[in-house]
Amino acid sequence: MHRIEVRVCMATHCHFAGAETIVEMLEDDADLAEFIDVLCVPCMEKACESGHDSPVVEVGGQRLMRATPELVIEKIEEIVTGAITGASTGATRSEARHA
Amino acid sequence: MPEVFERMRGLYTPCTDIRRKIFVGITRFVLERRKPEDIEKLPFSIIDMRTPTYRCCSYRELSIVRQRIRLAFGLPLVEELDNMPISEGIEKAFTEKKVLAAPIVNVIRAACEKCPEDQVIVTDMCQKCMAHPCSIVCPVGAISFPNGGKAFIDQSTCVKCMKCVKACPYTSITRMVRPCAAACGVDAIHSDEFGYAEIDQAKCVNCGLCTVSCPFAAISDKTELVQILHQLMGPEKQRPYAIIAPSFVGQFGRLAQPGAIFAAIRMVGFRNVEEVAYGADCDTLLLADKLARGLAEQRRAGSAQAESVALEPDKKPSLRFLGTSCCPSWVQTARRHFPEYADNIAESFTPMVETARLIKKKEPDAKVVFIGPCIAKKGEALEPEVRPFVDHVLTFEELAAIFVAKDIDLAAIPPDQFPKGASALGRGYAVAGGVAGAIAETAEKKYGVRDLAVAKADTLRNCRAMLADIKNGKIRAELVEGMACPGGCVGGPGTLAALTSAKIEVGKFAGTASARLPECPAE
Repeated sequence: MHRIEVRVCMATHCHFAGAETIVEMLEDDADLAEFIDVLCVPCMEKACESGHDSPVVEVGGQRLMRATPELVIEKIEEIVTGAITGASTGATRSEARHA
Repeated sequence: MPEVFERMRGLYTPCTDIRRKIFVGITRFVLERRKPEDIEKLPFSIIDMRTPTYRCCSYRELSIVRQRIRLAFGLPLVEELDNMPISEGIEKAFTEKKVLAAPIVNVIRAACEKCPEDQVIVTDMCQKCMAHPCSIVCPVGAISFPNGGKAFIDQSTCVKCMKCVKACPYTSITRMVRPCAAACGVDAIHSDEFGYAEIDQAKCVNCGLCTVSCPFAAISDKTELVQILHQLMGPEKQRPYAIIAPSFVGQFGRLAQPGAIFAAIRMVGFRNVEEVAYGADCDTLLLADKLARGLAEQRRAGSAQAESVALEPDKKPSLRFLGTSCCPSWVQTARRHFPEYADNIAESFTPMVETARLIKKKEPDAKVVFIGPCIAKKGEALEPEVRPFVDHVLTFEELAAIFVAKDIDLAAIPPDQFPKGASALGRGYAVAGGVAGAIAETAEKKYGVRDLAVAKADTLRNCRAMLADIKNGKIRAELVEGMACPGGCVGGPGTLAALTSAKIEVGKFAGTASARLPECPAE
């Protein structure tokens, strides 16, 4: 299947608000490796509003604000499950993992 | 199992979050030139009184945030029971002068959960098994089964021998040690009469590992952010110089090149910035020279002495070693716990002081701010012999808060060129083993010293064990390196990057140095 691009903003505001932890969690997750490409990217149009909504992460083109590892992984699994079952909801996180 | 202070490191937790929000909040507050009395409003821009974010209730959050603000301003803690507004005397912090005073590391009792100090406890995994080896192996009869149920350990009887922990087939028994105390390598943390953690300031060496190990963020150091910001906002001539510790590389995100970090430091108002690795180079040369001279003498007399030690095993081997002096927590710990070795620690200035001296030599009235991973340096800079050289201390995390508050993005600014870099060995001071490595290599290349016996340890508990081993003759050492933080300075409490990535970046940057061996401009 088509790999999902996860773009994590690594500009100073987002880095200070925990972007590094998100990247490390994603890179450490062997289950996710076959679905995603993780990219550290520069500031995305100042979407964070001077850090107010940092960190900013884009998962397959969908932008997440105040992202956490949990939110990002949830979004990835949502997209993966959607691609496999044709439905965008309904599957639990562990079902997506075993899909 | 990693040590307690390594488990959460590099992870962005709510403890990291609240600390950084306060740093950014007070930085903006000062940059906007708000009035000191407005400080009472500041907590409400950090926490939301309608929904508690970090704690059970927002009133407790409010109380904790107020106290953290006081500490971040560099002022003494004000607790609820002091019945004082946080703005009380806060105007004293609105200055470019030094405000910081001991104690550097403080317990915020409102945030302390009063964890039990050290308990062996039975968890829910106990299956009330027939064999119950736990009670059979217990040497003091502390384990009973109330009403035929789960095992129960009587805390007043338990001697924490860990036999039951090892014997349980369900691994249901565990030992819980209060994280702050477990992180403390000098046993400075105990409980006060109410059960709150309390720091014995006579024992504390300001390593700061407790501040990043408490899962409730109940221990915090004071900062000099506000006073440094006042200097940065002042007229050009009064602005300070920055000197930055070798561990700075890789601390501000993967896209922030070393040159961009330097450029950003100038952008926030520092007149210039120098690598502390320069001072490290001077130190390396000084210590390599001292070591080579001392060794020549010692090794000549050595063989005869070794024989006499073997004949009289009770007599402590009097072999002299040279101890490194760059980590203030290690130096204090070694001198306090092993006073007989006090003279073995080099009396040289530290790389921080050496670097500051180079600036003050050219410009005696200049202000110098050390930027590093270290909380202990805040204490070192209060010492009378260091104070004339280093005016203030800032951590990488506190510096990053200034970048954020000033809307400076290190990934987007053009990096500065390094005019003349420090040596590869000097830049390697940031990682455990790097200091001894630099001295040993310099001593060999410059003075032909071979087969040097090097002992090194990181974390204060390991440092103490190492010195004990040297004392009882288990280790032979001619050069001894001690580091308070895990992995060396890159593992310091004021860092932002995870340990492994930080080590790699420091190595890469050292590889770009124009020379491997140190040179000292002062010589």
